[in-house]
Amino acid sequence: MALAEATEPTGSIEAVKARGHWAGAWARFRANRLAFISLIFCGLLVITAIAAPWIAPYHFTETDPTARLAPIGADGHWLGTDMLGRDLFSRMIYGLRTALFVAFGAELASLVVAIVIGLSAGYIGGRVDQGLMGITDVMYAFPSYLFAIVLVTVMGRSLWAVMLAIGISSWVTQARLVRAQVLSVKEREYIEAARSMGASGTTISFRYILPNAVGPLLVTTSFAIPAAIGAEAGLALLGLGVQPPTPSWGSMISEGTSYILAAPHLLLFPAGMFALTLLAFTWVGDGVRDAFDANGESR
Amino acid sequence: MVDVSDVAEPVTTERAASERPVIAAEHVDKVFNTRAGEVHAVRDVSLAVHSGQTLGLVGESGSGKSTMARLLMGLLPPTSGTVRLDGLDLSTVRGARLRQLRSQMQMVFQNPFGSLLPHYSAAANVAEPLRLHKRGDKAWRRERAVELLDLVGVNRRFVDHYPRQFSGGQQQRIAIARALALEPRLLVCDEPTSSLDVSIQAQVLVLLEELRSRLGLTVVFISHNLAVVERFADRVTVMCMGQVVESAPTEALFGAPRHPYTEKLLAAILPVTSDPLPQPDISWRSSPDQPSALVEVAPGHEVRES
Repeated sequence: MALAEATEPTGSIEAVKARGHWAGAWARFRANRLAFISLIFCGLLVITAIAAPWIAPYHFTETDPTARLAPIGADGHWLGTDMLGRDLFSRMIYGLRTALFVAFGAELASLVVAIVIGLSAGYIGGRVDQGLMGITDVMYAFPSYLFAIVLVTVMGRSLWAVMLAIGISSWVTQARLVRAQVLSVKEREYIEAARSMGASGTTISFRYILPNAVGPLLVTTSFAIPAAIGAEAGLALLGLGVQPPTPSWGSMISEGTSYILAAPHLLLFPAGMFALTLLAFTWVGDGVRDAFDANGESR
Repeated sequence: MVDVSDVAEPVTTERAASERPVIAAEHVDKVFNTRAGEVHAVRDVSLAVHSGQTLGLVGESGSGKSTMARLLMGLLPPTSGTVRLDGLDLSTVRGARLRQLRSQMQMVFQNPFGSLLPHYSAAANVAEPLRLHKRGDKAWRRERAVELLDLVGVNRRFVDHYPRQFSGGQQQRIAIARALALEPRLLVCDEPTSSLDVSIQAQVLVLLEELRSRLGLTVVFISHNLAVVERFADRVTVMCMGQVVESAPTEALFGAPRHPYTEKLLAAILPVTSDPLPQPDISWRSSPDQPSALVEVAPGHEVRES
C-alpha cells in the first residue's frame, strides 16, 4: 500500500508516474487480442461509413441498365449488381453508413437521457426518484418493437424516426444502471466531504458521482451498439426501416432472399458483413467488460 | 469582519470569552427518523468556540459526537436550536450563499481514504476546493496544492498519485491539506486519527498541532481518545447519549472531573485493561421526563446534575 513511502528516491525532481484508472483498463483491453483486433476492424468500419461518398465507386441510387444481377467480378462492379443494376459494393458501404449512423446516434441520445434521468433520480431521491423510476418502469414494460412500429408509422420512415425508435427502448436499462451507481456511491464519505467543501449538487453528480458510472456505462453501451445495429436491420427486414432507396442491410438481406438461386451474392454479402460487424462490435464489448471487471473494487 | 480594536489590544482570556465565538451551538437537538423509530442523537447541546481556541469533544461511539460535527458544519439541519458561524444562523442561509460560507469552515473526516475523491490525484484533491470557490487559475491552484502538500509532509514527487496508492497516514495528510486549502477559520476534525495506526496517529497529531499554531486555527477536535484530547484541546466537552455531561477547561476537567461518567472515562485511559469502556447506563442515565440541568461548579466548568 505504502507505495509513496516505499519508492526509493531517485534524485530526480520529476514526479513519479502514476498509473490512472483508465490506463489500467486500456492496458487490459489491449492485452485481449481478439477484442483489440475487433476494435481495429470496427474503427475501419466507422471510417468507411464516414468516408462512404469517397470510397463507394457509385452512388447508391445509380443504376446500370446494361448489368442487372451481374455476378461477382463483373466489369466495373466488384461484387456484382442487384436486380436494378445498382452496384452491390457501393450499396453495402452506404448500408453500413445507415446502420452505424442509426446505432451510434440512438445510443448517444439514449446515453444522454439515461445519464440525466439516472443522476436526478438517484441523487435527488424521494418523489423525483419515484416519479422518474415510475416512467422508466412503464417504458421497460412496453414492448419496444411496438413502440418502434408506432413511431415509424407516425413519423415516417426517416433516419431520425428509426434512430428514435431504437434509442427509446435502450435508455431504460442505462438509466437504471446510472441510478444504481449513484445510490451505491451517494452515501460514501467523499460525497459528504465534497459537500463540506462547498460543492453544488450538479458538481457532485457530474464530477464526483458520474465518473464511477462511466465504466459500467461503457460496457453496456458497447453491447448496446451491436444490438442497435441488429435492431435497425430487423426493422428494415420488417419493412419499418429507413425509406428506400436509402440502403439498409436489413432490406438488402430481405431483397436478396428473393434472388437466392439466381444471384446468391445479393444475400450472402450483406448477411455476411452484417454478421461480421455484429460479431466485431460484440467482441469489443466483451473486451471492454473484461477490462473493467478486472478493475473490480479498486475503482 | 476584523474588529480593529481586537488587533490593537492584547487579547486576554477574559476578553476572548466575551467576544463573539467563531462557532456556537445553542440548544441544538437532532432527531433522526429511521425505520426503527426516532433516534434522538443530540439533545440540547450548547457550545461555543472562540477564535484560536480548540474545543475537544469526547464521548464513546454513539454519543452524538459525529452528528454534532455535522451540525456544526451545517451538513445536517438541527431539529431545533441554532448553529451560528460568526454570529450568523446557518439555517438562514442556503444554496450558493451557504456553499460560499463553507470556505470558512472545513472538516477532516475519520476515514481519510473514504473522504478523498478516488478518481482524483492527491494534487487534484487538494486543488478541488480552490476550483469550487474559483480561486486563481489552474496553474496557480496546482502550485498551491503542491505547496500545501509540502506543508503537510507529502513529497512533491508523489502529488500525481491517486489516494489508494498512499498509506493511511499519508491519505490523512492529504485530507488535512485539502481542508486547509481555503484557509478556513474553523477546522472540524472528526476523529482524524482513529482509523490510523498508533505510530501514525502521533505524526498526524503533531502535524495538526503545528498547523494550528502556525495558522491560528479555531478547531473542534472530536475524539474518543482522551489522551489525545488532553494534549490538544483548551477546553473539553464530554458527551454521553447525545447530551453534554461536563464541560470545562482541559486542566480542570482532567484534574478534577465532577461528573461520574467523566471520572469513569478518565479512569479508563491510562492503564491498558481488557475492560470495555464504561457503560453510561451503569453510572448515569438521563431521563427524558426529568431533564437535569447543567450547573456551573467553577468558572467555565459545567456539570450535569446526576
